[in-house]
Amino acid sequence: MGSILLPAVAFMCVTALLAIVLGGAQSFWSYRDELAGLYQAFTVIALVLMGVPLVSLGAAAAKLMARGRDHRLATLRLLGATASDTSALAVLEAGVIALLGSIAGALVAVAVSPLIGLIHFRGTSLGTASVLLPAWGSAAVVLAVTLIATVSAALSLRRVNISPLGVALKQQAPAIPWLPALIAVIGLIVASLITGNLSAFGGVAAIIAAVGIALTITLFAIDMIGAWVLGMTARRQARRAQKPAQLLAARAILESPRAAWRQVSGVAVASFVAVFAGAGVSLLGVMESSGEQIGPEKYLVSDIRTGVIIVVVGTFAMVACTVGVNQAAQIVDRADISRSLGIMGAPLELQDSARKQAAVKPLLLASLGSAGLAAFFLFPMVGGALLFAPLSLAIVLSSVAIGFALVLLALRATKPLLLRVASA
Amino acid sequence: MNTPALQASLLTKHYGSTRALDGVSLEIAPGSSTAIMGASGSGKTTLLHVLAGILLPDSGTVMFEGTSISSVGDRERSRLRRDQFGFVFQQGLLLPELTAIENVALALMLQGRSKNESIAPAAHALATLGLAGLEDRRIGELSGGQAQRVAIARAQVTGARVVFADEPTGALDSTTSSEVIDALLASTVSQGRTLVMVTHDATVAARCQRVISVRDGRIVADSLTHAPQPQPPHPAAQMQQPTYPTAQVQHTYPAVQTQNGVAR
Repeated sequence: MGSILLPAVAFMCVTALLAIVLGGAQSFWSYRDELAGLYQAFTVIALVLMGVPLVSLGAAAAKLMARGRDHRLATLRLLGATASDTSALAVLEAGVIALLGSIAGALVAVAVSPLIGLIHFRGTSLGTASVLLPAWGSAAVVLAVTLIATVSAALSLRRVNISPLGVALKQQAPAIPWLPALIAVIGLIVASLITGNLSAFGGVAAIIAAVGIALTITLFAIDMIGAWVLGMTARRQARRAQKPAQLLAARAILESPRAAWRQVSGVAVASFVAVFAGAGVSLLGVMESSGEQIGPEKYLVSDIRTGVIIVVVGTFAMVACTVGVNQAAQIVDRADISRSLGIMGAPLELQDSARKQAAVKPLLLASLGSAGLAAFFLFPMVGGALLFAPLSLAIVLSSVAIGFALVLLALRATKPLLLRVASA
Repeated sequence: MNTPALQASLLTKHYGSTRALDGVSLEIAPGSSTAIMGASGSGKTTLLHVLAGILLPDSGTVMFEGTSISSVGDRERSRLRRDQFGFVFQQGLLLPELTAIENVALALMLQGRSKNESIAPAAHALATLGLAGLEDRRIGELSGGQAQRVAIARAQVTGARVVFADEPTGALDSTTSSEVIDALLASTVSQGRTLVMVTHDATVAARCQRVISVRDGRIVADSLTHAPQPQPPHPAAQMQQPTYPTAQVQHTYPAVQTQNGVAR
């Protein structure tokens, strides 16, 4: 049951979040005034930023579906099934699970649309009708998710068909490559030089372009260095850990720092955006309050702030789903070990604490690390916001706190599964 | 007369309409080795789990060194299993992300000791089982026999008075099985500990001093074998001529570093 239900729930989450995000985004295409283009540009940026964690969630769902499948199909091959038999079966299984999950996800998106419709832009709530995807749109999302899952299943079948006797043994922990980290450090130095010498760029347009380039380099650098920093930190923690939960958590991260980072990398982007955009919006708000704004411009700054909060909370929601899906899979995979630890007298709280630490520590690093980098590179802007509009900045940063709460909720939601598995 | 290590009286246990244990009574002497044999579904594993305090019987009592364990709560039974019992599972069920020494040290850390305090006894436990030099290996890098010896080290490093083994050689070939049973007996019975082992392998059971046969939840045979008392590994022999095959890798595990008398 776990091999069907868990992947289906994962695809439900992917589809629901995708439909909600697209539904909300479509509402800005009804604007026709002079600021419509600006709103739509910001929407596209928001979609790109939220695309990163959504892809991670989709990958976690696909991996979840492949879990255990390879062994089942390898057994069929050994029993005489042909390669085309196993391929057809795997693709069919993936397609059906993804279809059922994504239909459920589309229904969830419809169910929550009244809540999404309460979000205010331009001084008024968006309304349920404007955030609901049309029927053909929902169908397209369901079809797209199902197709991608099916293709992913087909592509990952090569290993089973080539070598059904192949057994994957986790013999050595993966090495932590240092080259991406070195490239990232060079990138960060370049970005720092750019932001530290903005006056050398001449006109406003050139300065904006330079800032944009520096920020893009920084975001890529964060993604490249993240896994390396996580691995180094976990290695140090494993050496220094004195309590069982600390040791188990550090070693769990060291199993694959890249995978641990990929799970939370969207949060790194969102936290960077929260500091950068939050500071920018706060300062814009200060400038705006000194003059009288009329028409659509009256709401621009508060709408940008709302958009930033949506991106941050939405990203954390996707990461929370990814964490929940991965945790559920891991709990089921390690059922025997969980039971054996319980037999040895290890309290359930210890296992719970270890898995929480293994999930939260990368999250803290991603969030605080990239927020810190944003504050460092944009110190004048962030400093100004702290001085002149601390409340506005605090509101945006509180969305990060909400996001953390979502992830902790996802972890809490999987505890009953751990309890059931450990006491079986 | 010595107090029995374990004493079970009129144990019954049902799973739905299936009777897993049907009025089982037995006593296990301290420092002895007992094999519980039976076909699948005979109730042998259920008996082991009830004796170890993992499961509560529907009726009957289980005493450990004169103290009831079948009438105490889950927390107390967990504490008992942590402090007084050791476990060796069929698949070892070691944590794959931990090294060999960390797996063994974990048993001591579960008792509240710090990792620094646990490393030296864990290293010693591995060395007595011929695993010196393999402390920093991950479980996936060890052979089946080596991994099972790590599991045995983990089971007895806490000074467990009773070691329960559930099909410890079930996944091993005959040569490795023999080595593992040698290790298990030498680290338990020859050290004065009690061993209770579930097995379906008659050759393995014959290595124990007593064999109990279970069928349909009842003891149908209970006999003493004439297995010789296992000898502990000679301390000097360990240094010059390890009893068990050791890895060729030369590795010296660093001693616990201290600063101002405090381990760091």
